[in-house]
Parts: sequence; C-alpha cells; structure tokens
Amino acid sequence: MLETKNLTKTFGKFVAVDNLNIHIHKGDIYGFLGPNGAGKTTTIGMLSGLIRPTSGDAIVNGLELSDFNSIKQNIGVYPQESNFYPNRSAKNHMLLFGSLKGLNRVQALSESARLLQLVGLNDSEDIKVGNYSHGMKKRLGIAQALIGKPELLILDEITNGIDPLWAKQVRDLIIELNKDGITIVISSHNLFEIQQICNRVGIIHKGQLVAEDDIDLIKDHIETERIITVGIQNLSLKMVEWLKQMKHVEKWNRSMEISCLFMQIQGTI
Amino acid sequence: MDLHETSIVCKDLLKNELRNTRVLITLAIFVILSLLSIYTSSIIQLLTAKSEISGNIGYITSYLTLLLIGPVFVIALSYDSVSREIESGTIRLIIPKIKRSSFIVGKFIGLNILFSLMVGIVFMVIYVYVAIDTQTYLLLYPVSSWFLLTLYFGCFIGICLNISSLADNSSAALVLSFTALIILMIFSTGFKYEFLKYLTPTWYGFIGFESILNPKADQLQILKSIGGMLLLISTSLGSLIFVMNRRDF
Repeated sequence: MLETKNLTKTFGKFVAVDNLNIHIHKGDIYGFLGPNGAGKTTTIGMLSGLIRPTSGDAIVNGLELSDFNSIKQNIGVYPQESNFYPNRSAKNHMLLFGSLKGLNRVQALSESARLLQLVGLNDSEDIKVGNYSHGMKKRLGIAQALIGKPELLILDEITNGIDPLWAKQVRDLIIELNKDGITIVISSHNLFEIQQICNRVGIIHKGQLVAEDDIDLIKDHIETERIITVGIQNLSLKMVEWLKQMKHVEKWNRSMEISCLFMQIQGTI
Repeated sequence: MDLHETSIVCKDLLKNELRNTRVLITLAIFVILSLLSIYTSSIIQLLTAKSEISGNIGYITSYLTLLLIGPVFVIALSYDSVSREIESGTIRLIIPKIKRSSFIVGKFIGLNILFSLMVGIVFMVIYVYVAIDTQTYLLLYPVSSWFLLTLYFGCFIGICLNISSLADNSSAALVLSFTALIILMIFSTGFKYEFLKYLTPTWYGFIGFESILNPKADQLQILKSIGGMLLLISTSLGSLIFVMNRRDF
C-alpha cells in the first residue's frame, strides 16, 4: 500500500529524515512512533505533499510520490499544525474541501452530512470553527481527511493536546474506519496510544527507522529481561535494608561510604 | 495546473474577500478616492476649457490617480493572501488536496477579478458623469482605461503574491511589499539608468494611456504598453508557480 525508499529530508546540514524505509500494508493501522523531533512530522509532511523530499521516494498504490498529483485522490491527510478558517463553519469547510476533491455540490453536501455525522459534529455544523474546542477541531480534521473516500488516511499526532475522553473517542473512530477497509497511518510519541490501536509499528529516532514490525513482536522485543544498575546516595540504614528486600533487586553492594548503595534490578520492563 | 481546482480557489477567494470587513472598507476608500478625482477634474476642466483634451479630463485625472495610488490598494488587499494561509496553517489542509499551481493561479486570478471589478465600477460612474456633463457617449476612453489599469494592477498583484508566497508571516510580507513598491516607483522615473523604467509597470501604464489620449502619438506605444505589462504578468506568474512548487509548508 505504502512503501518509502530511502526517503531523506535535510534542512541545511540538519538531517531530519535519514534514508527511511517503511512498509505499510493494505488494511494496517500503522503506528509511527518516536519522541518529539524524531522526524515523524517531516515524514508525514513528505507523504502528504507538503514537504519536498531531498532524496528517495515513496510508492503509494504503485504510484510514485514525486507524482503526488496522481496519488492525492487516494490519500486523506490531517497534518499537525494545520488549521481551519476561524470565521467559517464546519459545513462550509467540508463543501470547500469536497469541491477541491472533485465532488459536485450535491455530492459534497451529502458527503459533508455523512462525515460530520460520523465524527459527531452534525449538531454543530453551522457553528464557526473559531468557536470549536480543540477536540472538535481534531474530529473535523478527521472528517475533512475522509472526503472523497480515500484508501489511505494519514493522521499526524491526532490525539495530541486533547483530553483523555476525546482521545478515546478519536481512537475508537480510527478503529471503526479501519474496519471499513481504510488503511491508517498514525504518528504519535505516545506508546500507550499506539499499543491500543495499531497492528504494526515503526519506531523512528533521530530521523532513522530503528524498528518496524507487528505490534505484538515489537512488544515481545521490548519486554525482554533487562538488568539495570542503580546507585543511590544519602540513604539511611533503615532505607538500605528496605531496598535490599524489594522484589527484583538481585544484587546489592554497599560502597565504602555508608550512605551509598549500588543495586542491580532484574526483571521485565 | 487544473482549471477546475483553479476556479474553486478563485471563487472561494472572491466569496470570502467580499464578506471581509477590511476588504470592503479598502474597496470603499478606493472607489471614493477615485470618484473624488472627478471633482478635481472639474476644476482642471475650467482651466483647460479650450484644450483638445478637455472632454476627457475626467478620465485623465481618474486614470492618473489610480495609476499612482492603486498599487497601495493592491498591497492592502493582497499582501497576506498566501502568507496568512501559511501563518495560520490553513494552507496545510489545502495543499494535499490540489495542485500547488492551481492554488496560486486561483489566488492570482481571483485578485485580478476583484481589482478589475473595482476599476470597472469607477470608470462606469465616470462614464455616466461625463456623458451627462458633456453629452458625449464615447466608450473608447473608459474601456481602454479599464483594460490598461486591469493589466497594470495585475503586474502589482503578481509582485505582491510572489512576496506573500516567500514570506512566512504577514508582517514581513507587508514591509517587503511596500519596499518593493517604493523601489519600483523610483525605477519608473528612470533614476540613474534609463533602462530601469522598462522594468516597472508604472512606465507601461503611462505610455499606454498617453497613446490613447493623444491620437498624434506613436500608436506603437499602446502595443509596447500592453506587451510590456503582459510580459511582467507572465514573468511574475511563472515565478509564483516556481516558488510554490519549490517551497515546503
């Protein structure tokens, strides 16, 4: 469905995305995981036609990213740091985006009604978006990305900055959309969120893909035994005794200084 | 470029600009200032009553007024057409859906239509005024003035949109647009080097109208004027498409 081939983006000497090769299959909910500044948004930007790659390419349904105009009909995007016109209603936005996707007015009206109903904004479709809450804007973001029935939906940090209840509703909506056959790419720095909804995950760090696999295999990989050595200073004797008896503390060694304890904690993380 | 996408961007711009209070106030000032120039022309007419051009004095003053103050209004209405979308992030929702060239050409055509309508209103009122006052119904002056000024404003719209596309925020776009206007006005006088005036829309605007008003003038001037302004418009439009296709959002 989507495959990148040595996709690279540099800003001057800074390499934001470095020879990225990800593989997304049809029907996946693919989690693109990484800390802030890892290169997720730049990658999503390149896949959305917002950022020009420095080198490399991506293939979407057999079509090359360099010919973005051919693939844009099959892609729905909600990029991070995007915004709506504050003085226009949700319906007005949907009609504009619908017509840009090639729908006539009747089709755009029907799509607008269907999608606003799907994301639960049908009651507030005539309210100006400037009066919307953060969560409502995110749901409108998903609705606008779904115009034109795209096969691939790309959502960048979709639950970022919204309260847990809205975030759960958005996650449930993503799962529902996937059941309808839409392949979804969701970028996030939140491991919990990715675990909740994704079946495949790619982990990016400093612009490079460090792991990519099914979520269960990645979880197994993460959940191997680790030994961590911890040094703690300024402990009372009572505290030292208490720590030595803790579960998972395998070895301990008190240094020459009576107040310092080194211990090895072993177990599954 | 896709004509369907371009027409949607163009219609959307016109629909929203005509509902925008800032735009409506600017339009009102533009029309009022232009019409005030007719009253100025009445005074000039008294002084040049026996002159050959006395009947056209209303057109001359209005044309010259628009030639000089018009670019300020072009900046006022178009400096943030693209930079505002970049700054607010709305462009990030539009660009994934359409061709970049369609987006920018749509904006360009929309603003041109807006100014063409404004100039059209001004010259229609002047036509009626002159027709009642002098009982002459010649359409040559108002139509040619409207056509030349539409091209003239088109040149400035192209320049403003180029600056707006390159700037990341509207304040920078405004300052740069006014700086460009001052430089072009200085260049139009010939400054130190005569060839500099050929790079400015103002010079082409002057020679075009001069040849329409004065039948004894070199009629090639009108072709030079139209050709020069069309060349400036095509250059700025080409540059706009290049800038839009190259930049990241």
